Amino acid sequence: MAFRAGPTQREHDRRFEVKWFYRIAGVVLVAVVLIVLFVPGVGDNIEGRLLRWMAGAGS
Amino acid sequence: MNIDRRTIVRRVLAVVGVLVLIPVLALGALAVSARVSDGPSVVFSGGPLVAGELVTGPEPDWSFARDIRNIELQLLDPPRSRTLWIVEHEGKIYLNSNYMLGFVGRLWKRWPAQAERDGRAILRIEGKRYERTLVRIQTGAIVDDIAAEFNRKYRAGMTREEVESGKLWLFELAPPNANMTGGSR
Repeated sequence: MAFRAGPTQREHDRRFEVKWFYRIAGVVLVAVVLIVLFVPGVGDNIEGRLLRWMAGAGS
Repeated sequence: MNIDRRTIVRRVLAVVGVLVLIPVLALGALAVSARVSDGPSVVFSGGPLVAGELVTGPEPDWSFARDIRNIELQLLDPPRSRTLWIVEHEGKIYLNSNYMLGFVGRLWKRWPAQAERDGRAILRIEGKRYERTLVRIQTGAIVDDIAAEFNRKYRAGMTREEVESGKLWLFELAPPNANMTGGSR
């Protein structure tokens, strides 16, 4: 049979979606790391925000 | 396409997980990057201070430190560096570390306790490195003078009571001395 039907097809669709979700999530997370490390100013910006938060929380 | 409630919850949780991971990974990347660098970043401690002429010989005239806002300090053990404020008073230089009694402070700042155990350190100011010994100051009339200098220079709102209560730790950057391996007075 060329096409699956019913629960088998739905399970196949779900696994396909999950696989793509993890791929996209992985790409996004790797992109975040690379941007933070290599785009000038991004790291400083994040650290500035973190420093303000920590100073506020610590006082 | 039939999507039941369980599937929706699972997808929302997965998206939330990724959204949480984004800042965690970003901060982790910054921390790791700083740790392997020659010197600290603003928040994260850095690696050993390598670059810069190592100044030896007679004690320098530290009056120039009055115009320096931030310095880099590395302990020898562990060999990590951080950015700190500095003041000069009567030819000696001093550092402070605030928030030492709060939860965030304890989590954030471990170097003061490390410095108290082993005060050997390297200070880098304007690209030059100096060997120092950190000595904690906990009380005494001099605390008022140093606090006044911190308040003048940084508007720090520092008080003698904070130092004596342990909320704020104060260190003198004493000359390197074989008989001094950290400690307090």
